[in-house]
Amino acid sequence: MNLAVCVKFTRDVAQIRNTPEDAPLRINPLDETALEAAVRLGGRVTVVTVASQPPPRELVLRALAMGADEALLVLDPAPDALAVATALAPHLGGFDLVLCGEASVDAFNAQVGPRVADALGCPSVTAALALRPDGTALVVDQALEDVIRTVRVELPAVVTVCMEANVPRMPTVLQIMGAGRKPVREVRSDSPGGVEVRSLVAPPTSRRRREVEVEELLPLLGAEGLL
Amino acid sequence: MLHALAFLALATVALRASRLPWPGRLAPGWPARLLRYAVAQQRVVRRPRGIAHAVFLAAGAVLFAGTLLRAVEHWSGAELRGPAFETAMDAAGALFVGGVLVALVLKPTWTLASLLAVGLTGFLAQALRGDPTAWWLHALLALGTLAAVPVHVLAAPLALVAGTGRPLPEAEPPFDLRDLLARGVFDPPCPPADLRLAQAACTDCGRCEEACDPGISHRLLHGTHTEADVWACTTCAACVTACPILNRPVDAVLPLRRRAASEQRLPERGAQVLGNLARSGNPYGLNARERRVQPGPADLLYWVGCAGTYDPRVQAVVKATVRVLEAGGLRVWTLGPDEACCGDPARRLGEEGLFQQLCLQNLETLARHDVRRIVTHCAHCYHVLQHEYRRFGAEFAVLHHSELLASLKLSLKPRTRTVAYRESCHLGRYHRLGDAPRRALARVAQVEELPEAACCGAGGGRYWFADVPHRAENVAVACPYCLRTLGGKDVAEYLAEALA
Repeated sequence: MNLAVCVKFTRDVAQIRNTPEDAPLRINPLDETALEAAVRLGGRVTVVTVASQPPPRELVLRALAMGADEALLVLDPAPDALAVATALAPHLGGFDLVLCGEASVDAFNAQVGPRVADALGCPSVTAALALRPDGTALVVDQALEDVIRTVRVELPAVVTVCMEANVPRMPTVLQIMGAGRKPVREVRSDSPGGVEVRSLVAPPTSRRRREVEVEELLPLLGAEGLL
Repeated sequence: MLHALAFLALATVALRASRLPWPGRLAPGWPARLLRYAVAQQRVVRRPRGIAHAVFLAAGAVLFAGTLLRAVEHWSGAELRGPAFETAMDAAGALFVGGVLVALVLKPTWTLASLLAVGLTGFLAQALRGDPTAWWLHALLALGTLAAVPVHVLAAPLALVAGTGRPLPEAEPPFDLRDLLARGVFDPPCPPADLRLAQAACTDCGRCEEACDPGISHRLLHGTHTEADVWACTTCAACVTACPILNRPVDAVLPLRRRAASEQRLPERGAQVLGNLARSGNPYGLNARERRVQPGPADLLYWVGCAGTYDPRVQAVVKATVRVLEAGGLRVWTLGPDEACCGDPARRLGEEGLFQQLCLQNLETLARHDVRRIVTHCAHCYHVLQHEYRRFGAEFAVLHHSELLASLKLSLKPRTRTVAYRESCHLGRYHRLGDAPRRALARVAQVEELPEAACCGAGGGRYWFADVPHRAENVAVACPYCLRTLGGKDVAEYLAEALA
């Protein structure tokens, strides 16, 4: 089987101090789960990512060390999920199965997987807990709100994998260094954003904000019934 | 005829000895090691069976020398034996037979039985002076036993001569990340000759298993362990201090764990801990920027450690330590977010590459700040910084906080209570530093000694991946793992409480 895993390099949310930008990058943990699922399915695995800047080499090597055979970096400024799917689709044509994490820990839109399926014109299965090959098809257990639904889907298909599917393997530093021998390709594209943001405003709040002197504070709080 | 047989027996012994693995190096101070542990049997005599062993070994050596003397006399025709010779031989023979008999009663083996037969036929031949049957019986039995001498008799002295000189565990790295980064290739090492020699030298005496809490050291040494055994070891080195011939069964653990890590056979929490270490430089996976900076310059660098940074209980130990140090006139500074985990959990989990990465990163930081003196409350940080960083070029001095707490000039309230001290394996056994926490504690309390324990159970990285049962002991400890596993208080907290 020829598998592609779409991977996003996100900010490590555990390392944010003031702004997200000062946190280091990591592989989106849900994409690590998808990659682990792909490696367990077996076959040739290609990691595909869309990013405006080339991601840190150490992270690409980490993805390769987890068991991918090849990496494809699509350098594209893609401003939103639709643009990312548009940038990914031309490179995912030849694969039997495309796996994505269910969402990314930074934006959590959960859109790229289904949008890629739409662009490829193939079925989309979301929130996969377990994947089993079945002839030319794939049987997938989906984790829905309160039930696990088992579906059978003909390949090629796009499947998004949920966090609970597995515990991703932890490649050793030696294995990460050894992954330097695996091929990494880079292509450039320029996908336009699909969603135009007109404005960004905070929703109105019911309470007035007031600046008061310290001496006024106690009576005010008393008047509000807070003391 | 007899000469031919004797030659054959000696040749067999020589051949067997030559087949033993040889690591190709001499231990520093090997003659002393040989004298103390092989000739004087210093650790063997710690139990009754061992005393019997030492007695018949010494008597056997005298008898063997006497026999050689007779042979030399026979060939040369010179009169070498004095009047006391026969008396000495008789006495040695009696001790030999007695020693073997005691050993045989305590633990019956074929080797001991054949040694007894050799001894008894020797007396028989002596009694029936000139009787050829008795004499030949003795000679054949003796030569046969010599040829079939247990392999440990040959391998144990060799292991003593070939050791690394440090009778303590050694986390021998199979590669050096610096070479790897320079050359870009990795040559996997061959199975170490040390381990094979240690296996041959092992006498199956059982001392290491008795000392080992999970009772697995002998299985680990001989490769007869289960998957669970590999993760049960606390690397406390109780087996190392028990072994009469200075074998280090604990050294077998890390190679096994490295293999498991590279084959993704880690305990589930272990894999998470390694991911946390790789991403955030601490096993908790918490924000590296939460490490607080106390800017220098000051008297010495305080290595806060991961537990000291993120675990509220251990934060209290750090605060107590700093209070006592400051009361003693010492000011400390900290690296803050520049400090990464010392790498102990990574190394004990078998991720040697990650350990070396953290080590080299920390060494670079410490060199950038030109650090000469470090103090830490953590027994494991202490061991790693003090001992394991040396191989990678560390030159700074490391102090365990208890060393300062024991010697600083402090005004303390008088002693009123009695406190039991629980030794940390990495301080007491690895560094023989158990004295410092005891002396520090003795300044504020009557120190009560507890029976020796192997480990709190959290060593060897087990704090991070195993379910170590928590106890609630009212003891003084000198290590964060001990503190979190056993309960009680750190030595520094006792001193901080007693500050006048």
